[in-house]
Amino acid sequence: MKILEVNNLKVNYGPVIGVKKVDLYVDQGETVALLGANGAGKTSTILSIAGISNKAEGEVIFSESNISKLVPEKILSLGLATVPENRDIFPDLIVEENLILGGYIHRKDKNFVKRTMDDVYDLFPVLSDRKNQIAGTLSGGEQQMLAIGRALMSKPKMLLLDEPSLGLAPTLVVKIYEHIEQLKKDTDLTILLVEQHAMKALSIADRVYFLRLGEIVSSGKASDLKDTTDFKKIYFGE
Amino acid sequence: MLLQFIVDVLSLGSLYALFALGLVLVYGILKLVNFAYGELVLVFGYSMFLLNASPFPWFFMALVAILMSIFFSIATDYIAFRPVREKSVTAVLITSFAFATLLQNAALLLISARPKNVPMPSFLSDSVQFLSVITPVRNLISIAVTFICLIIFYQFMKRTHIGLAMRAAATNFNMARMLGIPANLVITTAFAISGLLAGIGGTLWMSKLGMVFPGIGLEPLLIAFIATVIGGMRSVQGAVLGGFILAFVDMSFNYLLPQDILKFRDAFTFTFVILILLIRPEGLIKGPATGIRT
Amino acid sequence: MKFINNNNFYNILFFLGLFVAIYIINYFVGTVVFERIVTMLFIYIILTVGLQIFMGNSGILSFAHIGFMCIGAYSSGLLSIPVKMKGFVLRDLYPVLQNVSLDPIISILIGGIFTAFVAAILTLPLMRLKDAAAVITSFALLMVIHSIVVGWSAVTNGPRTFFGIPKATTLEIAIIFAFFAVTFAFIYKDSRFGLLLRATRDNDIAAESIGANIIYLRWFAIIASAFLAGIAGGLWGHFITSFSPKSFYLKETFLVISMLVIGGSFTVTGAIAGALLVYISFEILRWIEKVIKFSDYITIEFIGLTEVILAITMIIFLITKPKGLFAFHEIGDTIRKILVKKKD
Repeated sequence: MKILEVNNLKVNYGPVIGVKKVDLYVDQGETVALLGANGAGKTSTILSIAGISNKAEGEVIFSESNISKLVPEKILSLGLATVPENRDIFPDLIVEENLILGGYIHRKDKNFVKRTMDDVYDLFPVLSDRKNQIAGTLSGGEQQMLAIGRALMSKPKMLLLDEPSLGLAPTLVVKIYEHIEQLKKDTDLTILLVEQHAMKALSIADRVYFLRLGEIVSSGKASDLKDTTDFKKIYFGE
Repeated sequence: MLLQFIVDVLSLGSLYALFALGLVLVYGILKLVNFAYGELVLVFGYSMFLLNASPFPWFFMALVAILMSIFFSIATDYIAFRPVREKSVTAVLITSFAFATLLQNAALLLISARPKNVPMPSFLSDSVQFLSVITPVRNLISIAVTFICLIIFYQFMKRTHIGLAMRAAATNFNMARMLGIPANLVITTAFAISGLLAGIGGTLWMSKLGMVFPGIGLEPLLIAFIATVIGGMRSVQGAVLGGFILAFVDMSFNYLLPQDILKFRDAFTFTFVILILLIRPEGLIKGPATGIRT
Repeated sequence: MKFINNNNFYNILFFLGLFVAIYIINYFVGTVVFERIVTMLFIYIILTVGLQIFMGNSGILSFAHIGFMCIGAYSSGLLSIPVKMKGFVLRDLYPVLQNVSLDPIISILIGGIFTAFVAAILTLPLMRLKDAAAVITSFALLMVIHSIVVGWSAVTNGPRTFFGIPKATTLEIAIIFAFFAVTFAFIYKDSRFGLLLRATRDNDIAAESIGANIIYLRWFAIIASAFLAGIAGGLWGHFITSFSPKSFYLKETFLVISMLVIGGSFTVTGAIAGALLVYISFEILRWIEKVIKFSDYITIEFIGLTEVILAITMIIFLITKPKGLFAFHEIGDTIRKILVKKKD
C-alpha cells in the first residue's frame, strides 16, 4: 500500500526553480532512498512534502489524505515526521527538552511520552547519558541521534530523513546507519531517506530514486543498483 | 543616599523590565517589532477611565483593564501582523505603526484630546521610610510585582509545554512546526503574555501618572524599545537587563545633571545607548544560538 | 558614468512636464487656496522623495526623517528672520546669531546643508545596526531631536511658537526645488551608489564581496535624504512662517511614511505618486472635518478622524498591495516600453 505519493511536484524559490518535476511513491514499511548531487533538489522535495516550502504545482498524498496544502504541524499529527538536513536541534535547550518537544502532540499522555522517551534512550544510549546536557554542546553525531530520536517521539508512521550522514566522520556514519537499521528491525517505520552518500543509502534501502537538476532521472530496486559503478553518469549526466 | 539611589533604580528598572519583556516576547518569536505595543498602556488607561464610573472595586477594574490590554494585543496580531507577515518585514513595521496611530486617534476622536483623570488607590502614593530611604509605596510594589512576574514567567517558560514550545519557536520556528507545535497557538500566547505584561506595567505606570491621554503609550514604547536594543533583542534576559540598565542610566542622569541641562536628559541617554551599540550592535546579551555543529 | 541613461531621460522629462502642467493649471485656477495646496504638495514631494532615497534603496525604515525636516525648518528660519524681529522672537538668542539675517533662499540652502551635517554625525554610529535595531534607533532619534528642539529655547523658542520667518516660498521656488530633488533621486538610483546599496538590501554578504561598503553606502544615502528633508523643512517654514516642535512629530512621520508606502518605496515615481495621493486625500479629509465642525447638524468634533481613516487605509493597502502602487517600474520605464512597442 502506498503510504506516500508525490505527483508532479514543482517548487520555486522566486524565479529560481528548486524542483522541476518529481514523481515518487513509498510503500508502507519500505525504505526508499532519494539520491542526487548537491543542489539536485533533494532537500526542496523533502521540505515541500513536510509543508514548509510552497509548492508551485503538484500534490502530495499521505496515508490516502491529500496533504498538499496542509500546515507542517498538521502533517506531523497525521504521522509524517521530518529530520531536516541541518538536524535543527534546539541548541539552547537540553537534550531531554528537545525530546519532550518531539512528543508535543502526545503531551497530554505523560506515561506514553515517558515510555516513548525510554525507547529512544534504548535506541540511543548516549542521549540518555547526556539527557541534561545543552543540545548545542553535543557532537555532530550526537546531534544527529538527537534529531532522529526527537522525530521518533511523535511515534510517526513515516520518517523523512534528510542527509543523516552530512558532516559526519565515516565511523559515525556507520554508527548512525546501524541505528537506523536497528530502528527498522524494531518498528515497521517507513522511511524516505535523502542522501548524497549513495553506497550507505543503498545498503539499507529497498528502492532508489535518482534526482538530477530538479527531476527524477531514474529509479529502481536497490539490489539491482548496488552493483552499479556508473553513479557519476547518473548524478551528473553525460 | 546610595541606598535611596539603589531603591529608585530598582523600582524604575523593574517597571522598565516589564515593558521590555512584553516587547521582546513577540520579537523573539516573530522577529517583528510591534509598534502598537505602547498603545496597550493606552488601552489600559482608557479602560480604567471608562470603568471609573462603575461600582466595582479598583482591583477588579484593573483586572478588566488588563484583560482589555491582552485582548488588544491579540487583536494587533490579527489586524496588523497576520495579514502581512508573509509579505514583507517592512510592511509589518508600518502596519503596527498604523494600528498604533489608529488607536491613539480613536481615543482622541471618541473620548477627548484632554487628559482624563484616573484615580488610583491613594495608599500607593503614601511614602514609606526604612533605613535612610524614603519612597512611595508603589515603588516597592513595583519591585515586588516585577519580581513575582519574572519568577512566574521563568517557571512558565521552563516547565510548561507551551512555554517550551515558545522557546523552541523563538529559536527555529519552522522546525518547531515540523514537530507538531501549532504556530498559531504559540503566536497568540506570545501576544497574550505581551498584553498581560503591558497591562501590569500599565497599572504601575498609571499609579504614578494618575491620568490618561492619547499620547500615553509613547513613553512606555520608547522604554521598551531602548531597553531591548541595549539588552539584546533576541534574548529575554537581555530585555530585563536592558530595562534595569536604562533605569540606571536615567536615574544617574537625573541625579548628576544640573537643573538646566536636565531637560536634555533623553539626549544624554540616547548618546549612551549609541555608545553601547557601537561596541555591541546586537545588544549586551546575545540571543539563542543558531550555530550548527558538524 | 552616464548621468542620465535612457530610462531616466524619460523619467525626468515626464515629471518636468507634469510639474509644468500643474503650474499652468494653477495659473488658470487662480485661487489662493489652490496655490497653497499645490505649493505644499511640491514641498511634500521633496520630503517624500528624500525619504525614498534612503528607504527605497537601503530597505531600512527610517523614522527620523521628520526630525531632519525639523532641523532644516528651524535652522533656516534662524538665519532668515529679520534682525528686528529676532530679539522679539528669541529673547535669549546667542549674540553670534542675533545680527544675522540672510536671504531666505540662501538660508534654506544653508539649512539643508546644516541638516545634512547633523544627520551625518548622528546617524553614522547607527549604520551598522541590523533591521529591527536600526528602525528602533531611528525612532529614538526622532524623539531625541524633538526633545532637544523643545528644550533649547534660546534658539528655538522651546515648545512655544517660532515665528517671524519671511514668507519666501512661492510656487515657482517650490517647483524648482522639487524638480531638482526628483532629478537627483533618479540619478542617485541608477548611480553606482544606488545600485550597490540596493544590492546590500537583497543580500549583504554577496554585495560586500563585490566591494560594497554597507555602512558608508547607507550613510551617504541618509545624508542625501536628510539634506532633502532639511530643504523641505526650510521651504515649509518659509511658507507657513510660524511653527512649533509639535509640527515635527508622530503625526507628520505617519503622514510621510504613508505617502511613501502607498506610492511605493522602491521607485521615485512611487514617492511622488504617494505624496500626491495622500496629501490630496489628507486635505479633503481635513476639509470634511472642518465642514462637519461648522455645520449646524452635528455638534461633536471629529478631530482625529483624518488620521483614523488614513491609518485604516494604510493597513488595507499594506495587506493588498504591500509594495505600493508603483512597486517596480518607474514611469520612464513604462513610457519607453510604450514607445518601443509603437515603433514596431
